Amino acid sequence: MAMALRRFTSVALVLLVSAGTGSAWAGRLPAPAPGSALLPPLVKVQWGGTGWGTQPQQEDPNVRINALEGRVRQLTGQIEQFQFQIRRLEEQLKRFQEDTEYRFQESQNAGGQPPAGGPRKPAPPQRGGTQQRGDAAPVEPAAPLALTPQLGGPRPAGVPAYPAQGNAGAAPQLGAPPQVLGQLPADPRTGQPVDLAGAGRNGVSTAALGAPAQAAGAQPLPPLAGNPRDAYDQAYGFVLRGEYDRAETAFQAYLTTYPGDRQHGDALYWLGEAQFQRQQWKASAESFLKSYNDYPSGAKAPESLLRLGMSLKQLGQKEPACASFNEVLRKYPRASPAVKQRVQSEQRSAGC
Amino acid sequence: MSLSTTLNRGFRIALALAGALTLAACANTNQDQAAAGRATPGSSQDFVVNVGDRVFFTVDATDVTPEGRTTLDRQATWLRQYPRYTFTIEGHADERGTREYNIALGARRAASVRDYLISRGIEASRMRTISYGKERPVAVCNDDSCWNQNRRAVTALNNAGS
Amino acid sequence: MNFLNGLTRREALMRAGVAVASLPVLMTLPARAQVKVDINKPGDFQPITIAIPDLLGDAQLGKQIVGVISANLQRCGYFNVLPQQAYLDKITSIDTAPNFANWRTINAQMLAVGTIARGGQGLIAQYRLFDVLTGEQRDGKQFTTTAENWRRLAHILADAIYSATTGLGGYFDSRIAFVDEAGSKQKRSKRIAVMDQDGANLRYLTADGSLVLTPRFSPQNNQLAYMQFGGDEPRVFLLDMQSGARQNLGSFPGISFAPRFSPDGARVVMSIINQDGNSSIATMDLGSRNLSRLTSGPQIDTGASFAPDGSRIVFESDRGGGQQLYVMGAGGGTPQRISFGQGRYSTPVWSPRGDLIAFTKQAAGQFALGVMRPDGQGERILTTDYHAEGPTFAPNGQVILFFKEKGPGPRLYSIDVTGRFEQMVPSPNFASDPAWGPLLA
Repeated sequence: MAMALRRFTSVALVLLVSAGTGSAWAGRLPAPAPGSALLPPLVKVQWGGTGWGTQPQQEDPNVRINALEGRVRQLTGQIEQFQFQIRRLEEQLKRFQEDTEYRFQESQNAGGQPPAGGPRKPAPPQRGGTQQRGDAAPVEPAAPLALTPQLGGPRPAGVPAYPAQGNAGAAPQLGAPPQVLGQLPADPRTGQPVDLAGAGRNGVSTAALGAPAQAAGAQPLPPLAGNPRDAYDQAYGFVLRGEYDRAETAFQAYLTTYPGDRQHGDALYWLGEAQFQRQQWKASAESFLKSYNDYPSGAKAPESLLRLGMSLKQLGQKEPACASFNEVLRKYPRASPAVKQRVQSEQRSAGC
Repeated sequence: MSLSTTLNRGFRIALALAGALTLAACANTNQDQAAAGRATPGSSQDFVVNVGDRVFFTVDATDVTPEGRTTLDRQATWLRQYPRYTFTIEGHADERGTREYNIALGARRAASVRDYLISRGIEASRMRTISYGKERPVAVCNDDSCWNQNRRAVTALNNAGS
Repeated sequence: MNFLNGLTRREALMRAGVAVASLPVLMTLPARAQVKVDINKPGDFQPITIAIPDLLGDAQLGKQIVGVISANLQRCGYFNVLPQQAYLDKITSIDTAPNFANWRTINAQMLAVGTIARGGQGLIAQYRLFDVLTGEQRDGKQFTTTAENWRRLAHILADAIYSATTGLGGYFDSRIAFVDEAGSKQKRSKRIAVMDQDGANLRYLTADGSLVLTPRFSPQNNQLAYMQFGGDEPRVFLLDMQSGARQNLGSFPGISFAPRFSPDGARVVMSIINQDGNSSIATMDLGSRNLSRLTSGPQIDTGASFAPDGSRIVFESDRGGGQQLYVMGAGGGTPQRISFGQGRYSTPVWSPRGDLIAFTKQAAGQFALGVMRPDGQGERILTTDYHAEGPTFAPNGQVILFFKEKGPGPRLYSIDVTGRFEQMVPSPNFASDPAWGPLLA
């Protein structure tokens, strides 16, 4: 029964294969495999092939089927690869068309009116692995990448200095001394004070528990959170998850929406970090430079400078890279040992 | 009889296994030869030592190799001669694969051997198949000299005592 | 350093003094992957410094609880817990604002304070979390429990701190099931064990001397599905974790293996070896015990894992000649291949957060652990080793547990999804096939 079914399958497979691949298939099989001379005397050369090229007498149909099935799998794999390549090419073509269209419109706009307000049309949802739009991402106005970092440059007016970690003077002043704090809220998971008493013996839960942690499917980028803290946390969450493309988008949105927020400096750093992890060295260099220039006494300043150097190094800009590394050590003698170690190893590997 | 190096190695393992099973002692070449001499025709020892109870596979492959066919042809002859035996074909994989896939791979190897033996006239009712994946290696080291011994299908006689 | 070809033109432009920022839109970075960024070195990621003074109230218990919290936070890699000796300020009440200056002086960014008291009903804990720089309270909660649950209380407190600081879900209040291995490799004895994620409360759930594989938690946290050898055919069994009772999952013919529960716990997806030696994927409804075959054909389909919303299944298949990852509907249908990199992909598992699929990858004689999005994009390799296998996600989808094997036997390791923090998870013996259970409460 099973055997009969397999025979039928084999016939179907052969038909499928010969229909699908035509003469290439027919032409390949009869060729004896190299080394076949070492095999016992051959009686016939068959169409089926087992991977050994030829068969001794009394070949079992099952053995032939197995070999055929292997061939079909190989071909299936090739088809899958082709489909994938076609899909990728289509996507690239589409992006190319979009970009061309955009540039065409832009050049038309440049003739008379200013470009239709705001940044260019929102980037389509990132597709990660394939080509990123990289340089197509909205670029901060002007600010060409300074090849020699303007170390110690002035902070733009109106942007508060980010309080340096451990520098009590720069930290916001605490208000009134000891005040009575509010009532403790309940556990948000249940809305009730948590009672673990029913959780069972030996630390093993036996109680019927709620639904398992549900998460959305492939999450589209959620809308920008409604307040600076949430927006920052959300963007930072992407960094923590290693979703650097989303982190970049979210930090850019945060920086645009809340330009005066107290975590602006950190956000610049993490924007740079997200770009750095995606190997967008030019963009990351710009972000780290801005983070350092705008917040030279911020907690992230030494790391910004280090990362600026690393970005420049990747761009082949050895001298400014070395200048950045030197500046970390010169300007931040109290930087964390980890940062200093990394600077030194970077200096060595860059040959500063 | 011209046997390849691989097959020779296969035999040594088979012998070692036979030694371990029947003598419960550490197998060495002398003991193996002695065991071979002593094997009663038609005994499970005879099958393991003189016929060869296992075939080997190349990496990630499930086709029986030409050497494997020679072994299985001998197995088929022997099994036809001693029809009282039923047997289990155990499929195994080397350790260089993931656990679940190796169970599936071992099953396919066992099925390849089963199909070949059926084509050589052995009744399907006498055999069953099982896969151990990478769970039961015979040789342990971090290179292919061990892995190629572990990529195997073993024909294990069930009612060996009868 | 091996630079990408495409950078040449960019460099040339830069040397020519062209402002890079104004380069045409079309200049995109070339394909990646050649330049290796080592993100495992210090200096790339600054953990958050946190001070956690011993809880007020029951001094001994307060110290124990802070010990468990601190170990959790330190181990996860995102925190640097400052040692108690460094603290300049003494907390005397958690209902008055701390002197933040004293905490800033020791470079604490966060401060967690709390009380623990033994009452008639058991334990009562209160805690507050402060942002030292701003003086804001980030979190404040009260918990009650029975005395023997003090470790879980500590884990829940650690989860509260972790969540309030990182914005991610917690995972410390959870357990790990794994296979404990003993004996020689040739005849290894395997037992299913379960322990808290920090290694405490180890229990063995199956007898010594057997061969058991791939335990997987039910979403209700009360059962494990696993594969057991012995008898005529190795099969998938269900094990009740409380009573130890086990049941054979179905009476269909063929070896069954690689089980996983559906997110609602109503079904188990597994692989079944067919008469022809190939493997296909099927789900069993645990209520009706009906088996539905989702795939068929001359291929190995295995390693199935549900999406957290239950709508799709990812699995590995060699239908394309080698192991690759495919996604299909939970009821079957035409699978879409999602992995296209160099090498073989296997043991996919869907993150509880839904955002990623983790997998084992074999290429160039090495094993690697990686993640990709469910559409196959954004592949990232987190770690590469001689042999690394079998990822499982923490309940928050942020940490992955797996096992590495070299030499005498395997050990469990954890790594976070950024690939930054990899470390061995202590186990009494060799350990493999980890499964991270859901949050306990």
